[in-house]
Amino acid sequence: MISRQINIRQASVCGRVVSSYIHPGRSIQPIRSLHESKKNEEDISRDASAKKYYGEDVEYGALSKAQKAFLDRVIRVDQAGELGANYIYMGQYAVLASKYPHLRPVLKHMWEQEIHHHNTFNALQTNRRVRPSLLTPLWKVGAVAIGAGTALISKEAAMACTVAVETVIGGHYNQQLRVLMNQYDVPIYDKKTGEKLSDDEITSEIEHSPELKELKDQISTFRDQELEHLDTALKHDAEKAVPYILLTEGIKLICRGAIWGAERI
Amino acid sequence: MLKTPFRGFQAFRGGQLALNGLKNGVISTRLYHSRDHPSSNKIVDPKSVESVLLTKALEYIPQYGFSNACITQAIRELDYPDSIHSAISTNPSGNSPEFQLTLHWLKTQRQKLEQHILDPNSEYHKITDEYERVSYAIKKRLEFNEPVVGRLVGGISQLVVPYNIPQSLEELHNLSDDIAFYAGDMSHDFAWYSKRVGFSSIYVSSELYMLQDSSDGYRRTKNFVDEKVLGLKGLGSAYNDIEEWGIFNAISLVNMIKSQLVRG
Amino acid sequence: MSLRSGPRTLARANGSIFGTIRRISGINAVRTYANGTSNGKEDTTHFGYKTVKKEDKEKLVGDVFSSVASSYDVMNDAMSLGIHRLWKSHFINRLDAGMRPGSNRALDFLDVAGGTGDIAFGLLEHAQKKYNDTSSTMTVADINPDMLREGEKRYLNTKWNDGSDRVKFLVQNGEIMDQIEDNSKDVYTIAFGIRNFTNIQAGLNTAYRVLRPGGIFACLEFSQVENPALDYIYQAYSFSLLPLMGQLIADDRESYQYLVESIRKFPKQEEFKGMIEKAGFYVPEKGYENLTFGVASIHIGVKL
Repeated sequence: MISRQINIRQASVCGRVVSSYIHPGRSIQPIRSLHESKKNEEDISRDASAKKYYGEDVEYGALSKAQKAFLDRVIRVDQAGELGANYIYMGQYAVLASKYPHLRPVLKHMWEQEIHHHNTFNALQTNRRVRPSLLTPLWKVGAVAIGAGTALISKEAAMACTVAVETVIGGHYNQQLRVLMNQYDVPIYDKKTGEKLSDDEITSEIEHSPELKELKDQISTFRDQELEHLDTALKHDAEKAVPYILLTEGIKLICRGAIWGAERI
Repeated sequence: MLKTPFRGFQAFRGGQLALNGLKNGVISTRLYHSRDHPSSNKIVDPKSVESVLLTKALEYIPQYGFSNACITQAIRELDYPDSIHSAISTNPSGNSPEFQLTLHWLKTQRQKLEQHILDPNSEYHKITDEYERVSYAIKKRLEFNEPVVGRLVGGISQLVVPYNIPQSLEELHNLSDDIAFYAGDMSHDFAWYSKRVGFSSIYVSSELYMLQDSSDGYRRTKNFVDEKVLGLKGLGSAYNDIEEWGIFNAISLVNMIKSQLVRG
Repeated sequence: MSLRSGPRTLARANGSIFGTIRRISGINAVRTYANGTSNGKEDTTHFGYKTVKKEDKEKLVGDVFSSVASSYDVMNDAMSLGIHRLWKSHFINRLDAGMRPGSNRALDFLDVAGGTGDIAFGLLEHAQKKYNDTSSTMTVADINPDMLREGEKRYLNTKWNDGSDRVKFLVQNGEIMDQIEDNSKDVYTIAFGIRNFTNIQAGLNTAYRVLRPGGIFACLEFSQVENPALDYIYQAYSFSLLPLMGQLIADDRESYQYLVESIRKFPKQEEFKGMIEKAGFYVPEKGYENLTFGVASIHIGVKL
């Protein structure tokens, strides 16, 4: 039996609390840590001397080709991922809802959150003019097949499938957040004078444009919700599924392959 | 200098250039469109030397066609020394000056179309139906071709040279992506691709039609565009209908099977 | 820079005769390009894979080229399997230099390190054939008098030797060019020469100085192959076969060993593009055109 270690780390990020669980079976690290809260203190002492810039006072320089390419991929793969998650829950709900009425609210709640995620990324895909994945029909069919298939095996298998998918997605979102936080520095210009801002004047509020901040916030919220789903599935006896390791590792492999495919195709 | 091997070398270079184009992505080279970083979305960089020269050269196209002579005239008029011609001919992208001129023409016309559509006073905003907006946009873009219609054949022949094809396809795709986006396309799946392919083919066929259209104000070309767009719309709704029919039948089949199983 | 290929080429370099000499004399074979900062004691630079004093490099390079001058073209043909002619032809065609019909001022070409004159005559030929330009002038500058003499010998037999003063041959150091005035040239070309400069940046700055506004700087030079698999094949070829060919054809292994090593030491495409921009030139995107997968590349700069 795998003994669970629950380690709650709390960090304050612009006033929000992000908690993360450390489970030996997964390698999900918290993104915002004590480092962030230290930075806020530094900002306060810096701001006292430098000019205070707010969002309306600044203009952002151009994103580089590599940065745009990464954002393009992020939106495409996340849209495909949420589409997959949406259809997996649809498949599971279709099979399990009639047999296990007590699972209905749980599944419905998780499914609705995925629908919301999917719609968010759909809107992003349209507004940012990103190309959706060419293999979308394949992801649709595959996701329904996996969802309905695991549900037909047993309800524990369905939960195990959720565990696998959410684990991969959690790590995947973490990876994206890491890049978005660290590699998206663009030159920032004063709107009135056109001068480039020096490092002192760039506070954490304005360092990234609202567009990037929104994206980061959305991804981190979704990541938290996915991890909640993971815990819910574990609570509902996912580990009791009979070919647990086979199921989870197999589905993880398929998910990673799908992520690779959706990023490029 | 050895001439025949050089021709072979040119063909090899052409293959290399095509490979480069493919590496950059024939499927899509239009990347993310930023909202808060507007300078990432520029189509034509107005300040670079090549851009200034080529923009001036565009004015001479009706007179000299898509050829080097336009660039020479532009250099004369801007009072630059002749050596700056080499800045265009040695352009590291590997393109010939004529092809660069053609690409620049396409880019500037696309930018003009975008500015027209985004102008709050244009009639575009009165049209609400997506497909009508598409035909309006295509017709407007074809209108921009009118001054150079006589010379367009030379330009198009540059575009279809095999090792230029990746770049000309990229421009075509960018144009149909622009038209689809501004028309209000909200598709999230395969329809995204089929619509854009549809708009690209409509644009190309109407442009070719326009080359031999001698009617007043290109009336026949405009009717051609309307017909084609309507056809595409019909195709789209036919697809949706078939999909609906398919899903309905699948659900009824499942229900029938379930009812048979209940009966035992 | 060449750190990526360091261990492999070190092994190969050490296996050659040069390598033996190096090991015996205790000189370290691989040094990164450093203008004297790594040693700290004297001003040193690289000569192929050796480290030499700056003052000595000029003479050492001069010795290499004096010894290869007479068989330079034969050796180029053998080493690059004739492809160098295609490269130079492509270079001249792309440059498309020449006084256009209807213009009132002839252009002034400057070909640096072009001792034997193939680029120089090629440019003039192209200008005449394509634009009927018979008045543009050409100055061939080379630091090595032996190479220049070779060029002058060939000039005597060409049609450019028609009594008009169009073609001049000057012995000039590319980094200084004291006999060439500021803002006096329209096209500056340098083919396979700039890697031999002791101070490449100084050469680029001088190029900027002598060009008129609107003038073009064009450099054809060996560069790094970007594809790692092809790079391996290319290095294997250049380090094993070329010095051997030098030994067999021209009886001068060391000079060709130097030539091959100097190719490895030359800055990569992006780095060289940065140096051209630093000299003040405007570089059109993307700055360089790779030929034959990056074995050679054409770098362009425009003086605005």
